[in-house]
Amino acid sequence: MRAALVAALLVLPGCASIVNGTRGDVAIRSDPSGASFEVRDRDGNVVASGETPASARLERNRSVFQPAIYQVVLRKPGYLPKRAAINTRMGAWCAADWVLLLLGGLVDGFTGGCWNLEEPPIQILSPEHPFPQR
Amino acid sequence: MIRRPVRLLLGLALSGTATSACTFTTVVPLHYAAPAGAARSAIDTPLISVGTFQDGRDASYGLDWLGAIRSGFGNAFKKLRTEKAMSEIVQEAFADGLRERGVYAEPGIGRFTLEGTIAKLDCSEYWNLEAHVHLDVRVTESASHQVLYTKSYRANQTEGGIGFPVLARVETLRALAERTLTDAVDQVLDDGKLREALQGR
Repeated sequence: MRAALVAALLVLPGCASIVNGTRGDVAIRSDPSGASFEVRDRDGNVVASGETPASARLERNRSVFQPAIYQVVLRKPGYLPKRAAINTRMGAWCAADWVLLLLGGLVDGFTGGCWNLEEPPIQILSPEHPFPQR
Repeated sequence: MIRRPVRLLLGLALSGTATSACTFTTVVPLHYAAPAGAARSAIDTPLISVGTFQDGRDASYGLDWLGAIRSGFGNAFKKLRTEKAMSEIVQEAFADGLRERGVYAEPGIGRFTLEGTIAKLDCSEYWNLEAHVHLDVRVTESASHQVLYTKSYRANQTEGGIGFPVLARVETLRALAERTLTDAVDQVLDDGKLREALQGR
């Protein structure tokens, strides 16, 4: 029993990092498509860009035990700019690490494998209507 | 003698009970924060005033309630309250958002008035951090008080937590609430249909 527990402690650490990896793909979509997009990190640095529909490969954490924070900015001529957050959540593997008091939680928190990046919904762009002038 | 697993469970229960008795309250600021890269309007046209935003949330929490970091039993371990009443914070957020777009007018001057109700505005941290801002907004013509546009807007954001409320930082949760409030204000002010409703008035 004790040997099995020790083996589990040795084998399971970092299982979220092994299953998820330290980076994740997030689909960026808009309606209408063909909008240019930039993914910015918490400090406003552009970490990915392209034209919708596209997929951005993003780090899951910004530093040790700090999940990443991203915002997508979409632009298309004739439409208002649109901003959307990319949400992160603690993944099931990581939650299991903590509940079972496994060292994996520490490893996954260190590598970023702990957190899942959620795909933002399709961003509906509003046709550009300027505010009326006096 | 008590077996080791039982001792472990008792220890966890006791530590949980101990932390449930501790509650820390932090008063935090909350503002509209124009996102990085946003272009500010070059010409200012005083067009829209901000009216009252009624707080339609559960009054028992208080008008300054923002949210809580919750411990293992779900009890509030660290409470967040705002410096001002939430209705005032939302009014100021819209005023700042309108200023950013160059169309803010002092109260009573604007051709249009933007007002509404705060249906939900809170944040919490348990396994994950969550913030929710639900606003019922209406725009009226200031002179006639005629309602030109009404709509409910929802902004919800989540951020992965670390699973230990004792280590959770109030500032991280506050920042998430601020980004979500900014998202809600941007949704309203960048709504093409709202702008369309103001055209030709």
